[in-house]
Amino acid sequence: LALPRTGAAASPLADLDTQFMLQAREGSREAASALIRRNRERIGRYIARLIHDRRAVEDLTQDVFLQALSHASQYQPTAKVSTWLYRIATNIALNYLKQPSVRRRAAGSGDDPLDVADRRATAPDRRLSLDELKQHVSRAILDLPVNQRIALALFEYEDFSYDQIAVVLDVSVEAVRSLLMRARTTLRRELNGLL
Amino acid sequence: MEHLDIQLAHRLIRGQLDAEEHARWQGHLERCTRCRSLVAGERAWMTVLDLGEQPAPPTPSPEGLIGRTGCLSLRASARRGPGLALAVVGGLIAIGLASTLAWQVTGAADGPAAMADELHIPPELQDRVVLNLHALATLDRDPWLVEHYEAVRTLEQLIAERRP
Repeated sequence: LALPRTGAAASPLADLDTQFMLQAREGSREAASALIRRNRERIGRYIARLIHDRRAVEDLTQDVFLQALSHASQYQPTAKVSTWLYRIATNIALNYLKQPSVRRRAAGSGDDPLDVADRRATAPDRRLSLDELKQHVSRAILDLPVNQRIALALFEYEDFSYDQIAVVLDVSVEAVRSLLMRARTTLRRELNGLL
Repeated sequence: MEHLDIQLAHRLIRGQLDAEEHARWQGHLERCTRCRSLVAGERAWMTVLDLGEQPAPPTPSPEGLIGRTGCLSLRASARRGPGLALAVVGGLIAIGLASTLAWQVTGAADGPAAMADELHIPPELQDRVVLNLHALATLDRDPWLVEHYEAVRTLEQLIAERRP
């Protein structure tokens, strides 16, 4: 069995997580627990795609659920709860990235890029090539401007529609389209150096 | 008929369209080179971006988190009523429907690059960078590329060499 895709259901009320959230709002611990269990891994992965420091991911993931449950009484099912969780996660990640110490570290983290010329020199080991490619792709995504990174992560990895991304980022659908195009252009340019 | 855009192509590839829409676009793809090219390119992008998938980070325990919020009234068992049961049943039905409709075309041995060639998608409509990245990402599935990879300078040259 696979869980329904994020963008599959039309009404927020048809969404299982939304039902759990509404019951958590009424004080159900089981529903709150189920909501966390169902979403903690994907929210954690999402945050890991946005920030460089993997050690901070668990703390920030906790913060997302703490904030969501702390504001459970204010939740209204006008949007799917997953969209709401991603919006909280995005704001928490953005606040984290704005910290001066984090910005300094992020600026200095690009000092060990894999050398493409070296890769070609050692091309015989194809497993190494694939590992390097994985690192390049991860690095290229992490190096995207943050709004492009968020849009790409939500669209490519979380199956969000343009409309849902617009809600998370609080921008227009056209802006989302533009962010995604720019993200792809940047990635193509960065990754083209590997070929 | 209108053409696919990136968002629709994603939903088509990921099996998120309903059966009628899916059949309609499949019919369109048989006639439209431009949309076939878009779908091939999107599949390639997905493969390449899958390489950037992050390993699962450590996840917080629900019990600890709920304890820290202090905002949920602790009516655990008392709240376990028909609402939750209905939600779970509803969820399972939704899951079943999603599984029935699932249509994932991934992991094909030939891949989008080969598909683009086989479908006679003209070169100007192919995103060579992405298709070649896909070839690099799925090198293990192509013995010919693996065997010849050492002998040439770049994968681009290698793929060009293989084509007649």
